[in-house]
Amino acid sequence: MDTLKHVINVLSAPQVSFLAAAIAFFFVFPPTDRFQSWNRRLRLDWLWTVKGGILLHALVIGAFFLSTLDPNFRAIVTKPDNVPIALLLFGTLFFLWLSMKQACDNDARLANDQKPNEYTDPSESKILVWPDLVYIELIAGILCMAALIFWSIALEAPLEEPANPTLSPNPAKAPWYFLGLQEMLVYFDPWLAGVVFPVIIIVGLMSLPYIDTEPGGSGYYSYSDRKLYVSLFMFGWLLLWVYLIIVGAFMRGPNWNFFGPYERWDLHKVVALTNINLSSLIWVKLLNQPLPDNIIIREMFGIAMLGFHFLVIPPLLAMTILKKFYARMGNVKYAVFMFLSMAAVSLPIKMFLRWTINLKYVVAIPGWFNL
Amino acid sequence: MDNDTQRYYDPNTLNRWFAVSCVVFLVSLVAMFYYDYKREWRDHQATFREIDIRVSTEKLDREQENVAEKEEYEQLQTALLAAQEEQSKQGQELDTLASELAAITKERDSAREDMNFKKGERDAVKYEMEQAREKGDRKAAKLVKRLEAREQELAEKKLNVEQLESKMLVMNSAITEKTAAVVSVERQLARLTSQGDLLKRKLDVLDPARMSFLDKAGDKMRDLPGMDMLNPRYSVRDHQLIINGITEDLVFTRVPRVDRCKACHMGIVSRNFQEEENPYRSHPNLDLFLTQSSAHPIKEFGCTSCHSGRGRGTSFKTAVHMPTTREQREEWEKEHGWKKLHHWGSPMYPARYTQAGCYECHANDPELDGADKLNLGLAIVRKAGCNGCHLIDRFNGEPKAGPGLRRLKPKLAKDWSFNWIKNPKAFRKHTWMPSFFKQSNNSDIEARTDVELKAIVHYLFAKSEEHSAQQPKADTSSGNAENGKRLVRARGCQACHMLDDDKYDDTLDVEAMRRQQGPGLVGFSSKTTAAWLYGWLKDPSSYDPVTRMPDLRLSDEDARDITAYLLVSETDEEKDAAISEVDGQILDEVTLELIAGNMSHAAAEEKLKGMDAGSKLEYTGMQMTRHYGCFGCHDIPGFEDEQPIGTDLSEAGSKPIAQLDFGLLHDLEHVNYAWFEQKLKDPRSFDHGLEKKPSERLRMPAFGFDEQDIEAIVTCLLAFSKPDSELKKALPRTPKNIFVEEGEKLITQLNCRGCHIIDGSGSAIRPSIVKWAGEYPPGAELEEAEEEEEEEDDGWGDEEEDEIDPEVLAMAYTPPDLTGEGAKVQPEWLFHFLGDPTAVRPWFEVRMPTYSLSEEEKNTLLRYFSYLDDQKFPFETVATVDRNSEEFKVAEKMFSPTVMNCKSCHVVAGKPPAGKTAAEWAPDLGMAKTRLKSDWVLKWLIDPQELTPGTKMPQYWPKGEPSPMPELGGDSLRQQEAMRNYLLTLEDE
Repeated sequence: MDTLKHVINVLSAPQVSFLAAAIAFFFVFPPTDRFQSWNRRLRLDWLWTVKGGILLHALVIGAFFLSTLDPNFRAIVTKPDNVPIALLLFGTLFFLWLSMKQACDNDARLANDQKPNEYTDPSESKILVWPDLVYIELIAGILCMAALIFWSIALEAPLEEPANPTLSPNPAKAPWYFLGLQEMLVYFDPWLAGVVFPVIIIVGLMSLPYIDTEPGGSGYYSYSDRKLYVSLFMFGWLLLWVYLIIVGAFMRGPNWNFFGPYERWDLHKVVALTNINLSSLIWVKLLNQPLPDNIIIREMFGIAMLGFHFLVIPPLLAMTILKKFYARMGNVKYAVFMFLSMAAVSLPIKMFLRWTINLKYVVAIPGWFNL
Repeated sequence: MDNDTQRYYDPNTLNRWFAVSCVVFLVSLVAMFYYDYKREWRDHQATFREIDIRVSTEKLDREQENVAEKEEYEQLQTALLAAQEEQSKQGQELDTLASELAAITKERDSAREDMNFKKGERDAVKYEMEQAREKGDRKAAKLVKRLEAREQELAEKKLNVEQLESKMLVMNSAITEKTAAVVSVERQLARLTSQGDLLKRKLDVLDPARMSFLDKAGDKMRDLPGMDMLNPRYSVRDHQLIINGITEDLVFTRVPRVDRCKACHMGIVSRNFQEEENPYRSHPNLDLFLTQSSAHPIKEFGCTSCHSGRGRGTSFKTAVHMPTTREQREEWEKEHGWKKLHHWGSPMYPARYTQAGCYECHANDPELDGADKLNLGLAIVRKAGCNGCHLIDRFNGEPKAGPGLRRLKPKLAKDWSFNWIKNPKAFRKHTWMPSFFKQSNNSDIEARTDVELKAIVHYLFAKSEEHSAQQPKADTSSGNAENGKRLVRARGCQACHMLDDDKYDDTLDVEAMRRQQGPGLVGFSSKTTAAWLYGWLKDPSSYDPVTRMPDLRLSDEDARDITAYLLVSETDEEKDAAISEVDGQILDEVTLELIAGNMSHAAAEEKLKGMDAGSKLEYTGMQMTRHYGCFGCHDIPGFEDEQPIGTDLSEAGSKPIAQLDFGLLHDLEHVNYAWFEQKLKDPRSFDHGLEKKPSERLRMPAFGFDEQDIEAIVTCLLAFSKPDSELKKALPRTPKNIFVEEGEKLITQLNCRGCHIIDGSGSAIRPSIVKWAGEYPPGAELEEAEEEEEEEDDGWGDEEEDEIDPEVLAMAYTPPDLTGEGAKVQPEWLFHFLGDPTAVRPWFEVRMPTYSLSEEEKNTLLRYFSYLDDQKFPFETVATVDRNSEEFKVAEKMFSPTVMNCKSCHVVAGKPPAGKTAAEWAPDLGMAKTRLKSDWVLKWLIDPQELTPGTKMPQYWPKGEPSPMPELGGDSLRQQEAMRNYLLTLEDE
């Protein structure tokens, strides 16, 4: 048992789990036809059937409750602040499954030249606000209130001591919905992780309707019609947001060290966290030379990498894999889309570089710009 | 419904959903009320009510029995019957009076209402008129008239009321007159049964068994859920205390502290519940706490200001009770669902550390009555020299705990020093010198620590100064050890030193610690030389100017005898094993490591090559002396301005638990006191399992404290917490308090209480004086001499009769009780006495030593005694004496053998009383003029027992009775003054 726990602890380290999740992701949520054919071949779409759903939920919930037998796991998930986060994750799983099931059902219907499930005859597509809408809202409201009351009875509010500016808790955690951002702070300069990325996320979400103007698949759940868009969104949502919240809430302990789900939160855990800038890595380690005094020369490799990432890759893609896509989108939309996508991809890339070569910053100009 | 067909959802299904959700919601509401209502404190209050009913009923029964047994009670009962009978004869008349009175009262009430209405009208008109007049309105004149009319009406109404009331008065007094007899008896009865009546009244509203049906129903109703917002019996509000002057932080503002502890601890202030269980019990010390007559009334101090904890908490858990032991924690977890509230910064002190709470207000008090554990802890902290390594605000400026090591060479040998430091307890079992070596975290590197230790010894001897004045002035080998033994016991050495044959107390207390002021007198022969010991006894401060050892003004012969005795002590150790050769390789390693701390490795190696063995040893020795902090307790050359090496403990109690490194000791309770306990038990244990270089390892030495010592010290550590700047309950900084505190500090340093009782405590020397009196009965030499003379008379038979109980004997030979010293002696005399003591009680064998006190220190002591006794410093009454006056002659007569015969006990101007053994002598009256305050002498003559209970001085003027002597008009006071004045002239004789 302890060996199993240990294995899970090791596997859950972000280096392993994120990489595995990122690879598996594209088979579960295929962005292109090729991935989809793999998806079919591996019968992964079975997950989105009722049986698959029951198995999925049984596995996740079963594993969760089995895990609560472990004192360390139990101590973390039963903290009054963490209970709603756990509930929220189960909710996320259920609604993910529900929407995917509906999308798959519709895909199957469309393949058989049937109308999607949500289709109604335009002449009948009218629902009464009273009583149909208001009545179920009332019922939902009552049930919500009852649930909140039971909850507040069962779990005492975690009231804490009077605020003390000289005594910060360890670990000091953001509210759960910001834990993804806080997790990014591990890999990026606070200015980027705390200001630039949130702004890009919000602006990106706002710009979605202007980028994706294709009418296909609108009004009903569907996957096949919008593979790329759904897959990209799910990547950002599940891997770059929900995954980071799970890590931030349950696996970041004292001193923001990483702890496996069955590991004791030891205040004195020591982990080697020595990192190196790209400039030092190349100049000092590879070229065996002192760091140049001129900042631009010193950082030229990093700047070049950035340029390559944002300025070279998108045109290359437009000329090769995404030729058709580029033609459909036009210059401006393609540019905006690619900027957002490359920015989103830069997070896992940076994480990966940190885990593999202990990269601190790609471009490090202290006081100005650290990336 | 017509349009049911158009409905998207099935209405029946929706209705069913609605019904179910409503039921769920209702259940949730009921649950909410239930859980809101079900509170620990409510159950406790209900249980307490039952207890209170039981206890009060028992008390009432007892009280009623007591009263019924009294004769007076029966008499009053018959008197009442008689009076009632008498009154009933006038029944008719009384009834008429009463009904008339009722009628008039009704009329008066009605008239008063009328008057009130008129008053209102008058006031309104008055206001209107004033306004109109101010504005110059034409209506003003009309309004003036209207006001007059209203005033007129009001006056009539008023008159009416007054007339009716005077009628009522007349009738009332008529009624009172007729019922006076009954009322008076009733009053007497009530006075007799007042205690019982109070209890009865209390029980009437408390005990459901005594209630009517409706009252009982109401009693149940008022505490029902929902109803309990009005006027419930069980509430927190009625028992919460709001303490002014003690504040707590509430979102960055200081607000008066709120304590709700009494919501469960209902019987805490009453003495009636001493037998009950917690939380219903009475406080264990109501004389000192909570009651209105005690020093800490609950209304002014509350609970958490001493006990700490969360006063607003109303459940066992949220009040942050803290368990004393692991077993208690487990029990609480089971019984109360206890869990530590991590975020509450000031959890309750666990029961055995409660005294830490006293320190909050009493941080400056020298010794606190009733806080024995805290006192002991402070004494141990001082004695063990904790403040040598750890800064502790309270002990700033205290002298170092250990002896100075500036002049080791003439005193000690290197071999002895090495063995001593390596294992002090092997040489002297009860020593306060702690062990640095052979501990749990350095036993594995003994070869290295031996080198470190050798280096330290080398350094100490290399830096040691010579002591030229240390030459023996006489042949030290010729001492008489037997006489030395007697002298050690007689001269008072045992006020500060334990002898080898003295049993150390198993449990330490403040008193026992006074007897350990200096080291135990063991094993001198292997430690030092006769020459040094002799010189030291003769003049300690010439060897060590800052030593606390005073000069006992020993004669050469005495010093020689004592030296001889100490050097042949029975427990002499064998000669110490000589120090072995220093392991050069390890020395090099250690030295290199130390040098490399300041420079690069290569440079360090270079430097090491240039050093010879001696300088390596000296360098390493110095660094190790610094590393282990030896200078914290000892004066060591080269470390005069060094900072202490340990953690600051001034606020140890409020240190966040995250700052205490529990290391790998996971089994330790995660609370600060458990950490402190472990640290004191085995200071190095937190290194357990950790991989550390020798220089990184913990270095706090082991003192060998037992459980009781640890408890006392931890009490102190918890007490040393962040001071509350808003606290207004501490002792005010008046001159009296400041001077008394300063004096106490010095008195503790000098160990005055080793000999004297001061301010109620002290005289640690007494047991040894009793022992000495038993072993060497004082006056024995004298008797022996007498016996020799009277040999022919063969007086053997009387011996048994002459033997006096050592306890009684010791009384005459114990250093004096200094209670009231400030009122007794003249400051000037005391000042000189402290610098150069002269014998007040010439028969004493024990000596007041000469302390080398500075002027400032002497003044500190003078101020202490004066302020302690509230002396109007520096004013004194001066007695003037006219030798030709009648008073003087009378006093002379009283002094003579025919009346008081003072000379029969008192030494007068150095002349001892004839025919008495020294044990029966009394102080020299010749010193009275320069030594005693005249006011005090007068008080002493009036009532010696009041000033010194148990004194042998007889009381010549019985209190409250006429003077036994007819002189001076038989006026006691005049006689006493005359006597006092006479005594103050005796110096000249």
